[in-house]
Amino acid sequence: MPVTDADGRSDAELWILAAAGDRDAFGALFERHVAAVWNHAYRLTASWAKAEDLTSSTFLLAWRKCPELRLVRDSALPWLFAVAGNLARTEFRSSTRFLRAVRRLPGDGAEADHADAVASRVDDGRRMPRLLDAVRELPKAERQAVELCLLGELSTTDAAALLGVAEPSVRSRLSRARSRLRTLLEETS
Amino acid sequence: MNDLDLPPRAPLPVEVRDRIRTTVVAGMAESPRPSRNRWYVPLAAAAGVVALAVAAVVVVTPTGDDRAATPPPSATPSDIDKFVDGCVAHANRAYPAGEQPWTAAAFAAEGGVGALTIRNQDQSVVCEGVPGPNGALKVGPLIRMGQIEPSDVPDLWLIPFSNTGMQPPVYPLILGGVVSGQASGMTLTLSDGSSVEADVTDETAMALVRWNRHSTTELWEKGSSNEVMKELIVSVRVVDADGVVLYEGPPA
Repeated sequence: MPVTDADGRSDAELWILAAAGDRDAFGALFERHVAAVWNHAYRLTASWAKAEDLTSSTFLLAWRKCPELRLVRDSALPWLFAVAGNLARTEFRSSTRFLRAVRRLPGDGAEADHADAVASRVDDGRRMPRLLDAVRELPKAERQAVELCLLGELSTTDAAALLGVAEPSVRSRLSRARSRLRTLLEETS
Repeated sequence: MNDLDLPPRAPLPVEVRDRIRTTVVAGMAESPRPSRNRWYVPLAAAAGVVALAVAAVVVVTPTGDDRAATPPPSATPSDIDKFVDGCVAHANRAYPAGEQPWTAAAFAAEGGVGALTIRNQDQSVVCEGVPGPNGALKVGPLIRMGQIEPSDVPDLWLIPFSNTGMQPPVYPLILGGVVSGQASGMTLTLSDGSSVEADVTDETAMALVRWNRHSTTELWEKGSSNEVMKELIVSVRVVDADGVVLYEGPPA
């Protein structure tokens, strides 16, 4: 059952409207998914500061790309997670510069309040970087599956559709990745 | 949590959501689509927005319902002091400013909500005041307003205006202001023909423009708060103590 807004519009419907230039529709997609993307961005970067910029970059890219793309599932979230993963690996450095130019403000002060609060709540600061280092060691196919299904907690069905492979293939990639991650994490602990 | 012992998902703080939204909307204006160039708005235009300076704060509506700044109905001076202190502390924690700490500059309140402009040398943020217990204002999200820029007028700096109050029940816009030792008053002319007078105090002025429409929707539709403000504020006039016009022009 796809998520809908107060007007009963699904992600797919909002996406089509946004692709045609409807900013309000894109805003509805943003409000619906920003919290999930921000949390995923943290798991991809181990930094609340970077997560904020990565989330902005992800939605900006979504705005630019949505006229060229159709959602393969009812939810935009798998695509947004995949974009966040790609940006975290490749374009994030330059897009961060872009965001800072847009803001016309100093770079890193904005997140300090939240980062402090989070630091006192969990010890993610130590655990997440170690985990991400291990994830980066994985072969690309396994890494993508891990980012979507383990870090992003998407279903293997959604990940398979997004990656254009059969669902059993995603499951086997995850199985191999778990085994590798266990070994890598034991080596570094 | 799954087998990777990941931390649980955290609730997205309102101020973080607001910052991300503002950045995305600004970036959309900066990121033209091949077939949608009409959305392209040069950043210089977006950042060059005006506002005034001046010591007093005015609360207005697009319908010309202007009123002097008034605190929430039940707020006491002590409540407002606590709100101001809380906002300044929040700003200093959120945006460490080194040797130049943030200080309160201008306060506006209306209808149970408020806003405090906080300055740090050449930057400004606005701290939202949301309804708290017993009519007191509670410290809400911080909104970054951007760099205070020199204007064409000597000794007159412009605080770019920005949207704020993106969460209920606030929903106003903040019109940034001017910082000037010479200014003693300003007049805003609104799109419906009405005008709003404002005095200047502490060399800083700010107008809080309350919007009758849902500002989040409006912001997405227009693409930037500056675009919205241009429709609401036709012109801005700043005068000195002798009535000599220091600045007169559009708020952008």
